[in-house]
Amino acid sequence: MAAWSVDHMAATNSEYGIPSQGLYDWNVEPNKNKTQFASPEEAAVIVKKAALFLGASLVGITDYDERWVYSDFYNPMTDESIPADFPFKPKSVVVIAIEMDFDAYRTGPSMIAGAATGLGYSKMAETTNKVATFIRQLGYAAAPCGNDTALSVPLAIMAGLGECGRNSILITKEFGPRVRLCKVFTELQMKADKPITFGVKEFCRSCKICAESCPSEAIPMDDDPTTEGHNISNCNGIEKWYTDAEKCFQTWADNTVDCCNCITSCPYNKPASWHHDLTRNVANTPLASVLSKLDTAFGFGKTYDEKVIKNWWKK
Amino acid sequence: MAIESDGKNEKNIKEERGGLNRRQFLGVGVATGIALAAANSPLGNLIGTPREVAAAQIHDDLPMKVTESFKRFNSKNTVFNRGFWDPKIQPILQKYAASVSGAVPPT
Repeated sequence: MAAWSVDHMAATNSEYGIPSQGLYDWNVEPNKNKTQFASPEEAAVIVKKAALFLGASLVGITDYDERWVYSDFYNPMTDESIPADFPFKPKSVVVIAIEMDFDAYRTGPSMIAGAATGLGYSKMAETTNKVATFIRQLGYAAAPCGNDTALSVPLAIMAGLGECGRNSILITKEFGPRVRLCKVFTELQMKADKPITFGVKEFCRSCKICAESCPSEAIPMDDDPTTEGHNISNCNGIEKWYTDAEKCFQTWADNTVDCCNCITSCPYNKPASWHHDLTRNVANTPLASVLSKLDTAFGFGKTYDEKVIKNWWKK
Repeated sequence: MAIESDGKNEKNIKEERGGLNRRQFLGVGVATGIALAAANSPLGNLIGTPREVAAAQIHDDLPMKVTESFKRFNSKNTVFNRGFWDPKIQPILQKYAASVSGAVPPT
């Protein structure tokens, strides 16, 4: 609860997809004096530098694309939907990744790993609020968002932050899937980053460690991705491996704790060090399957390890 | 390109895990060297389908196929929101919500 406190107290209900809540408030007037940038490139450099300074672990920019915005904004508290709309015309989206604690995630699934998730949510609210405030001070409208408003994974891919993995979440080069995503829509036009690939799809095709580690069997073992999901909680029509959110959520409820096995077990989930950085690049080779076996052989990606949980409190 | 922070949370794996001894560490190095050499030689083609060896490729659009059946996602259909209106998911949300509590150190 301590880790979630900022999210719960200052961004209540945003995780249910309700926009403009608390720190994610959209209705703040920008500075009347607009800063004029020499170019969209200059604006992008300034805003990205500010985002990193204000708490982002990774940041990228993409052009506004309506495809990734929810068709309707649903409020589960009132059971009402309103048409997806912004109080201004968005031109760019600042997409932010917040790293979650490596050691805490090693304890997963556990309350400690859940707290790392909560801390990520709290940082999402805090960081996007600060970035939106910075952009408003430059004279441009900005709408900070957590899980609400739009699909974060395709936005992050478009902003060059990573690729979509077998576990259906973003895999970054720097932290693997161990990030939370948030974004700021703005009317400030900035130069967009470009999507990148670094072999994740090919690696995931043979790896399957996340699927093997999933207690609910919600992650497919199929070699090839598909364009059709399991149920209405999937966004069909995008070629990827679809996770079954119904099975996943059932396991959370049965185990009385959030599960994060698909993040903890992923071979891309490593702290930064020269040999892991080198191995990440080697993962984009025909020897990907060998590397995933080496990962297991060296004891990475273990889940349900009580010793790790007890040691976490002592370190 | 996207840019990254210094990564305050990143630590030396050898010290933190305590499970990787010198022999294992050298093993990773040797395996990585072999993998790099193999990938950049004709051996790479013999082991598997040739792939792009470069660390990253840059694309102009989403590097995933988007079909004509794609429709914008309605946030009413996230599994959490379905817990408020979908009889199939409501009991799951209720069970989950009742179970959430704070973490305590082990005794």
